[in-house]
Amino acid sequence: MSCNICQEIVNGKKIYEDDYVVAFLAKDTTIPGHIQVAPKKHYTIYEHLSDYEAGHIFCVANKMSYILVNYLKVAGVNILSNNGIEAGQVYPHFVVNVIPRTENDGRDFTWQPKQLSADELSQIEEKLISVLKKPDKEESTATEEVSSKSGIGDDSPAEEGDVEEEKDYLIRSLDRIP
Amino acid sequence: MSNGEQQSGQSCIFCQIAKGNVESKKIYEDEKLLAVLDIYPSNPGHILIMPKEHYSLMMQMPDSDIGHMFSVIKKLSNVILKGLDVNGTNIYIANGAAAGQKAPHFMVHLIPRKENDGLNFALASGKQDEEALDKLRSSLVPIVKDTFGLTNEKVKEFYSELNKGEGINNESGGTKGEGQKKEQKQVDNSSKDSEGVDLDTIGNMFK
Repeated sequence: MSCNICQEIVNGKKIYEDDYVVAFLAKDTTIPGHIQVAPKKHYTIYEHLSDYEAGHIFCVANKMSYILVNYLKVAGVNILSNNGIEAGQVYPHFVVNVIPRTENDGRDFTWQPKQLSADELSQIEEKLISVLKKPDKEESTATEEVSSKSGIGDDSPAEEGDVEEEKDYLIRSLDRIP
Repeated sequence: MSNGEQQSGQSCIFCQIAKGNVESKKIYEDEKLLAVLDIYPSNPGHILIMPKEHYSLMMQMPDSDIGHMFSVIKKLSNVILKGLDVNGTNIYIANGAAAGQKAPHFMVHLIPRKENDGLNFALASGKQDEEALDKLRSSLVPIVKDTFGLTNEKVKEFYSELNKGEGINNESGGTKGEGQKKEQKQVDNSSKDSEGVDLDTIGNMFK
């Protein structure tokens, strides 16, 4: 098993497990109490999860943040997912990070806002809405590109019963046959 | 249902946006949530996804609403990848002022990412002590078991107690386990204000 996250799912410091996701204590981290929640299936990026898994994994992450605040008495929690290598993803298996925070802990996830003109914002708005309204079956290209550009193989299985995704997955697999 | 709205609806800018009283660049809307472009974006195409109901923290939202919200976020992330020619997205949530939360209305940031765009959400790689992890794990497992029977009411109760008492700025310490839980149960007598007060006091943390 070459995937680090798959290894953690089997042998890691698990604190929660159900049919779809596993939560475990991160080991390659500088942050004590850092929890990771991963789908059991080897999905590369978020877009590959079924709708149910996509929601459920954040429900579990949310409960983990409650536990950190309630029992480890941290002052706040970040929930962060780096989806795609250019977003900071390390392993080719989607994970959600639950990160305990205290005042002045030296971590900083804030950003300098970029200035966009009203025109630029409107263009982005139009663009996103037009893509959102297109039929679902065209969605596969974008995710395929991200997985392949990231250099992280995409062998995510499709969720049973999710016909649209399964079809996309088959198409993607076929595309890769030389 | 709308205690929070009564308390914060007038003053919370995001409640006003959700009601349509303040103009916004709406990308998606349904009866539960709203997704708008951040007008002060970290990157072009930065989307804020927020529940229409006023929750200060994600922990106050019912699971069904969280599930729905994140299946929408998955679609929006795909739309960003496809529409904005980027190669990744960050899904970012700040719960509590110490975590960088700036507005007293819970929201999720969905951020388009490209190489060398000046943002950094990477988590430093390090090593945790094996024994410390085992110790933490064995103290958390029973708590996790208990927590998965968690209800929204229990969370609200917890926050009302937290804000009345010692405040949210505790240093991280050891696990207190069951003892903590019993303390919380004593706030039953305040059920009529625990529904409203918690949201208000949590909102005040940001001022």
